[in-house]
Amino acid sequence: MTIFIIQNILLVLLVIFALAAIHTHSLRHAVIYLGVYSLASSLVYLLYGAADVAIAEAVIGCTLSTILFLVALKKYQVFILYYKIDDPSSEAQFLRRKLKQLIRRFAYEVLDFQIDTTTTKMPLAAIINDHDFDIIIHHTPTEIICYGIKDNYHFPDLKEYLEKNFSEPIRFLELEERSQDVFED
Amino acid sequence: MNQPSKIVTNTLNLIYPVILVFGIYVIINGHITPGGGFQGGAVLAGVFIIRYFTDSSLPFSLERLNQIEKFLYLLLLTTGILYSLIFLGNFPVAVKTFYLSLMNFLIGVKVFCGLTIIFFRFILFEAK
Repeated sequence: MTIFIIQNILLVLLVIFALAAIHTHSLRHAVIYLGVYSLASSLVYLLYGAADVAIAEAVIGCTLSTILFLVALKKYQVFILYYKIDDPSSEAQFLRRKLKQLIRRFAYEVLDFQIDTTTTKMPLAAIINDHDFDIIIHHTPTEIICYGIKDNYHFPDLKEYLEKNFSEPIRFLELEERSQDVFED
Repeated sequence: MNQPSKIVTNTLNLIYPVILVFGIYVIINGHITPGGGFQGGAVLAGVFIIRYFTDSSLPFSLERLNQIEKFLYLLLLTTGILYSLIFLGNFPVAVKTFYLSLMNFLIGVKVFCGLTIIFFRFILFEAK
């Protein structure tokens, strides 16, 4: 009887943690929820008499995949922003600070990412061809242009966010991603 | 990677031997109790994966681990083929026990090598 109750509690926990993993906003929380989900499901396997499967699930689902996901998140959570400014006037500097602050807030609150900002005077083509970037902002005396990569699924979010929160008009341009076949050694 | 906390380091240093012994136990008793080569190997790999969090240096050469894994794979295939050719399906009980233990051991070490290679390759080399 007690085993029956424990089993049911675990099954309810499974549903709860699966839903939590889907509905949370932070990817890191989702990974931890999935780890707890695996642990609960391995206990359920054990109560059903499949000790063999339970060991495999506990080791692989709970330890290995959780750690691999966390490491992957750590590797890909940096949001790289290049800021190129051609206009030295103080008004433009003020705008730059405001825009940077907005993007930083976007990266922290919406994506849960670290942000890596570089202010540069390099020509635009050099940045696009030779550097890894997520967003380039080109601040010319007449307008602000924001370049993003076409397949980067954060770019539409950023566009929406900036259009809602930034006072000046920004022109958004999508770039094709260059091929990544070149191996680094 | 930033400095790991003292609590984590000390706790993990206490836990390593336990996990190691448990992994070896699961492999050795694979033919009579739950578990077996795969599960035990995964537990053993877990030891070195957790170890990464206290000490991010590499404990052994990945190249050598790779060679060991390939060699074990070959050994695994030849053992299976040889046993089935020699006994033609009629295993005596003592031979069965030996065969299962040997296979469990080989699979365990192979899975350990494979998972460790996957993990360290992923961490050290797969940059953005």
